[in-house]
Amino acid sequence: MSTPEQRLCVATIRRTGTVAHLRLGPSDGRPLGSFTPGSHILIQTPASVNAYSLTGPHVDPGAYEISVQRHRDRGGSAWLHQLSVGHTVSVSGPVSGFAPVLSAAHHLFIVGGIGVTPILSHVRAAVTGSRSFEVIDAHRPGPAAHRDELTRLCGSRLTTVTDRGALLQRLTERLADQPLGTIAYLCGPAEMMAAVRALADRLGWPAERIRSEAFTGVALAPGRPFRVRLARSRRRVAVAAGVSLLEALETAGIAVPHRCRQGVCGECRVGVLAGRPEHRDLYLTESERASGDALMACVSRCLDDELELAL
Amino acid sequence: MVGVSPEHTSVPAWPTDPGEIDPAGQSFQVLGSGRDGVRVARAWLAQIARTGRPVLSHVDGHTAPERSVAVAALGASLARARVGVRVMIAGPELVALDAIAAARAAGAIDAELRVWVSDRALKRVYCPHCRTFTVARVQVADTFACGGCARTLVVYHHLSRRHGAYLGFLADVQADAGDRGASG
Repeated sequence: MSTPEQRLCVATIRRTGTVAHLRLGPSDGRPLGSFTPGSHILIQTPASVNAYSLTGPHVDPGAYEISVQRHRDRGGSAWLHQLSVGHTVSVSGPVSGFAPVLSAAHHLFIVGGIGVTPILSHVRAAVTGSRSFEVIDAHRPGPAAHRDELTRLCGSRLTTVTDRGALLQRLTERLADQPLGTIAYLCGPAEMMAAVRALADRLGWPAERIRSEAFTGVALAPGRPFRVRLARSRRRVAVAAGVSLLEALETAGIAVPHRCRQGVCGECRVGVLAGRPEHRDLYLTESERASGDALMACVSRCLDDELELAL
Repeated sequence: MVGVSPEHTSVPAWPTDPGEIDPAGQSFQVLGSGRDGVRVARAWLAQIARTGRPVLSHVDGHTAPERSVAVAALGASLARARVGVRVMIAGPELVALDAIAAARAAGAIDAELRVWVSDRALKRVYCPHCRTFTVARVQVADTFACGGCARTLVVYHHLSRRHGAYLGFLADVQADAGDRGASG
């Protein structure tokens, strides 16, 4: 996030266990933009730029509401947790990467833990729009963030499970009995989402019927060194292990628009003219990955020794 | 048509091989139409029978009313289908396009459809001047007389999958200029 789009002010902060709920309001009284359900914002912290789903109302919001799970090893979340009312933070505009499919006949939301955050705005929009939906929610026993609100919004359309066996049993029943035209939306820990995808695959679900939002960046391996050839400037740049392609290009004086530096926002997309990219982002679709004609410079690398880029 | 590459049009390049059934399918609906379409559909049904998975078959005779009954039956049973179903369609392009439109209207997506086209002799063409559809024995780039307004239309390489119809356009705009005010 080289150019933060706005400075917002912490209006309220409250906690549920290890989760802090922040309402970020405009410091100058100007209205905030509406957003597509499932959107996130990028927040500049001293340690990193972090993506957080917007949990509040999506039309004409008075504030952007986020819920931050505290991670011991991630500086950004600890920094957000120690903020207090009146602090200002640099925030991007809403980024939509997990939008509802409005043509779907039915919406099946599958939630794990703090993965509830992008689903709240989906559910609120589904209730307002009288769309057919159901929610399967898995979290550890005991209180968990946003569950009062989720229960209030969903009523009998919510099923809660608190262990893995019950989740898989419930999913096996429900994935086998969805009307044609259903879209499933997943948000939860990577391991849970992989298990749900595998189960759905066994039950005949095409990958196109499943949308997912990864809310925790996976720590990426440093990767092998490779080279890039730049078609327009006819330059060559070496990318060392542990250095991202984006960083190598910046060091060589080649500016690439970027924001999150963690493969989430889609801003640093670069065209690939030759060579096979090693995709490590969370932004491109399966078919975009397969076509291999673009990569996210901030996280993705090369399966071979050299890539030719449209730069 | 000069200057347009076939892969950049909406006219589908149908697979030449009927292919195997999708083993991930939990249930199947098969539509076969015409002699060759029914033959392919029967081969699919035999493969499905070996999996033991449930199947509904919509096989028609050779007349147009029977074809529309088969397509309507496919749409009606897909309205009750569950995710996991695979829809297998074999027959003339005109019937296949209707069956695809019915399946998509019931919520199916491309990954759930398998289509094999026996021939492309008949096409439904939409006339944007009188807004009627004409079924005619034409190929893309041929001209024909619109069944609604009798204007001479060229079959354009643009296919609406929702309507299962190709787009027609006026072969000679100059000749038609005189009644533009009347026709819009």
